[in-house]
Amino acid sequence: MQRADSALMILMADDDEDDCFLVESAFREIGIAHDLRFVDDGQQLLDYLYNKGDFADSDKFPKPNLILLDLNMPRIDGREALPIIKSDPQLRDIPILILTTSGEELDIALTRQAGASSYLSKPDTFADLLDLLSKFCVAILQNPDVPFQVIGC
Amino acid sequence: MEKREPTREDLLEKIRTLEERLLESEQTIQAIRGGEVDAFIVHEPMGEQIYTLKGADHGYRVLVESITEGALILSSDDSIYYCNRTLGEMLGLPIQKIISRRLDSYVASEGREQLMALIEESRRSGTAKGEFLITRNDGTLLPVNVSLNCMSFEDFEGVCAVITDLTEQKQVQEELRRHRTELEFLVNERTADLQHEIIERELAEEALRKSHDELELRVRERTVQLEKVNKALIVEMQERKQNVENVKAERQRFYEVLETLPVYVCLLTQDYHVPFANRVFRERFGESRGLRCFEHLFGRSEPCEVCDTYKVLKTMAPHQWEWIGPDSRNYSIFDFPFTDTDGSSIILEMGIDITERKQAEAELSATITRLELLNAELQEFAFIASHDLQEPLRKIQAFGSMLITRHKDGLNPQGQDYMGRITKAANRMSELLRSLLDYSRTGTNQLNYGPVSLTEVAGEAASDLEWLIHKAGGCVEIGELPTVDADAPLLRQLFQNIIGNSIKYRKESEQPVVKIYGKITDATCQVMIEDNGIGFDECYSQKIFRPFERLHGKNAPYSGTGMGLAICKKIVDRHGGWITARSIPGQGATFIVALPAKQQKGA
Repeated sequence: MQRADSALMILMADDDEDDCFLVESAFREIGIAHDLRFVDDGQQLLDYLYNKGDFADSDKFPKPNLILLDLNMPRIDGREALPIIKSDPQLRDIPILILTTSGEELDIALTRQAGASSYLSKPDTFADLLDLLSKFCVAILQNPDVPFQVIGC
Repeated sequence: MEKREPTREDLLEKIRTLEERLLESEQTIQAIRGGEVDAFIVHEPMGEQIYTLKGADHGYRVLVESITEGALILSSDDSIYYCNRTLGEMLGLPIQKIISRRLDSYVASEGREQLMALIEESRRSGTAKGEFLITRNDGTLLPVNVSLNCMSFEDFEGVCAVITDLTEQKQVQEELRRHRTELEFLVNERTADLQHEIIERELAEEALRKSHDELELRVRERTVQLEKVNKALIVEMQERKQNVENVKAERQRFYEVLETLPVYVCLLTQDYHVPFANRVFRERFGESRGLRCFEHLFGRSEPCEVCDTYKVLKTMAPHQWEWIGPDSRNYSIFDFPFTDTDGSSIILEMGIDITERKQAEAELSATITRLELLNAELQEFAFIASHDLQEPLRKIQAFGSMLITRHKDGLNPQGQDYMGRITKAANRMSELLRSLLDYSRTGTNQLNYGPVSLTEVAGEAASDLEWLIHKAGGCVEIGELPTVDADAPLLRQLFQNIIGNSIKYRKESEQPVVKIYGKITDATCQVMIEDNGIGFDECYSQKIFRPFERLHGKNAPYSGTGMGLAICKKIVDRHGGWITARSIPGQGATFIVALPAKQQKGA
């Protein structure tokens, strides 16, 4: 799902400001002019996708080209939000990359089954983060059907 | 006077006159005999003639005439001169016909000679006696005794004879003779009878004596037999007595056993009575005294709803259950169907006081629950701690690395050194947290048992470590290993850790070689992982399996968290096996892993 007229938009759902900062820094460093937006939890993510509440204006809050989803979040967490999105025909085509600190086998299995594109463990170093994002985000934006991979667990 | 035929009247007159004269004569004779007259007048054709009785002795004449013997006097010519009336009666003749006749004419002919001889004898010697038969007038014979006495008075020489009628005497004699004969006959007969009887008696006595002897013999034999039997009986009686004693003693012993048992034992009939109760029962619940069990134990009027005991009579199979007695103690009850001595079906019940055990069990259970909770909390804590601590640590690492790589110029060499140390410490901590997380996961993850080929799993573990092994220039030799019931990923982890351990602690001078082989003994499978590494002192063979235990300092070339073997132990523990290690420093080490071949269901 590419939009020719504007830059690709990536929505990151994570309550950790540091991680958001690091990812933003990484994207900036990678040098791709992406529109990167943030929501704090699963509830906000769903509100954004369904243009509810603060995100009612669909022009201002268009559908993202990629979602970076953390699993451990307040209110509705990533584990709950993922199957909701993936079971909605309007939303299921948006590729979702899991970016989390959880290395649980169960989380990996469930998210894979729910339709996540790949499962990435948040790396320890900035260099690894740069490496990971440049590799996976670009690949998925170009071809959403890349095989499911688990990195860093 | 003319002679005329006498008329009837004349004749009658004559008869009358004659009769008068006869009568007169008879009276005269009578008078003479009676001695009333000494003389009488007899009318004869020549006139009356007076006859006097010479020597008339009145007394003698009366005597002679009144005696019952015949008396006579024989004159010298042996004719009868006088006879008394009795002789006349004897001969059946009037005296007139007798007098002047010869006595022998009245004697039966065969006796006449003898009579004459007798008379002659009496004349010679004075007296003589003899028995004769005289012929009476009617021809019958009369036995008589003739007693002769010679007599003479004045000029008269005669013989006086007394004739005694022997008819009666003869009759008596005959009677006597007859009686005697009869008696003799009877006596003979009786004697014969008696003799016969005597013989019979003698025979009987003989038989009796024989049978007595036989009897005595038999009695002696029987006595001997009886004595034998008696002896045998005495022995048998003693044996029986002994047996009875033994049975009694056995019974007593059995009773003592029941009495001594620290459990209660009782019998319960179909109608809830308690015919037997041992000491423990009596001490705890008292004597039932004919009461039914529910009355006695709980003062109830009907059986207890919660009682399982009487189910036994329906199922006829032993039953075990738990019961709270009237003493509020817990009992483990064993009920058995039991046949009483009279064949009736009753219940044998045994109760073991398990109050202490129950309390201990409850305490144990509470402790286990508490420990499980604590353990779960600890696991949770380990997990959360390792997970949540990871977050800020990762930031330190991330921003630290950013600082070093992107903002190196803003730091002087000392600051760069500090930054490097911070990053290194954070990395180390991250490593520790990860292994702690692994360890905690090993303890909490649900195990999925299935048949696992240890050969395959060891092979997979070796290939997981291929790069590491290759880098060390080593090799892993895997022999034929058994298949066990296990969780495959955990066993793969186990082999990874041990093989990794062996490669890590290799000798620098030698190519590391790891040999894996195993055997099954009984229900246990043993796997040996033998290396040729640096080895260790066996005093550490327990310690090396504890979390975070390391035998080498941080500055030694062997990096690690000290969690690898602890995880191995946890994996083996969770499978119900054991792990140990044999080693001599410098001569390699052998890890021995023992796993049950089959896992118990529900484990």
